[in-house]
Amino acid sequence: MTTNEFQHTVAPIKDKLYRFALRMLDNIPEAQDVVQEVLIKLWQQRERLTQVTNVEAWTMRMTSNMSIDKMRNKHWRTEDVSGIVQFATPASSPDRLTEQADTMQHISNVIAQLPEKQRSVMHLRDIEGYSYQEIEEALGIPLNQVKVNLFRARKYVRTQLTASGILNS
Amino acid sequence: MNTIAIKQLVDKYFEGETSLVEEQQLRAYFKEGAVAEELQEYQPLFQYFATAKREELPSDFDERIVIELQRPAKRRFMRRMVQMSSVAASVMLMVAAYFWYPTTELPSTVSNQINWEQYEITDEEEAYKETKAALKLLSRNLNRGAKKAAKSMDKITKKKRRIEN
Repeated sequence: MTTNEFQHTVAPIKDKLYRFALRMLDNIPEAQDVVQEVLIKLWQQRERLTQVTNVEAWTMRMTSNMSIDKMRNKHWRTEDVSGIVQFATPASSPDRLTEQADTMQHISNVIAQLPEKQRSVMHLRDIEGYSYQEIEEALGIPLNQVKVNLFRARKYVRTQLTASGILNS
Repeated sequence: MNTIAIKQLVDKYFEGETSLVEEQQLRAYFKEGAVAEELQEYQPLFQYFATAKREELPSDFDERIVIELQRPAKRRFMRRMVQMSSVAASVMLMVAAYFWYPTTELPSTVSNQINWEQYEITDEEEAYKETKAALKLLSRNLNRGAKKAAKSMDKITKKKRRIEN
């Protein structure tokens, strides 16, 4: 397999891996490092690629494990990631835009506070649109745990957004 | 879809009971501008999901990856060169030491005068204590070395990160 062919194979998944690592680590350079490490590992095992039935789930699992390792093995520092989520609505006034950007940042912070499993499940479901079975494969956890973690994550987000006045009910 | 149906879907969503199709309906509804006033509070959350899905790697990432993928071959060559140089340097040092190190022998009379046997430990307990003390000293020094190595690695990592950033 040439590097070109390899790039072609990973092209549809690399941004998904990045978003997932970013959600796990909440840190842009670290998330890029994780994706780079995953892709290098994948390249080193490229002969096995043809035998793997679900490359996306396989690499997603690698990304998850590497992100968790990074979180646990390091003196963890969180950099300011404001600006990652750009939220803008056409025809909004500058004040309204600032307010909306603050709301987006607040939602991002609430999700970042979730325990790692809940955060991973919520990301794969609500942002990537994975099915329960796809999440099960990607994270290597049973279906019932996928559902429980998703329920808890959404419940927590709703409670926090209600407490901060973004939601009324 | 009418407002009541969407509200029911939102409640179902927070209960973790919506299907993928229903969640897509919610995303589509909140993506459009015409959101009913009583549902506008939910719009930021669904718009956050949509915005987060647009996050992408920087455009130069592919180039960096290609460089990284090609690097191992170069790195292996360099590592072999370093290993060979180290071996050559060690051999040269040993040869130099053999020719240049002054050969000093203790005068036979001095070694004859000392009765080394008197210092030998015969008591088992004492021997155990001495061995334990020696191993403790060794362990302490090894730990000291490991700590220094860890400190140096930490410094190198920090500098590397600073350069990369």
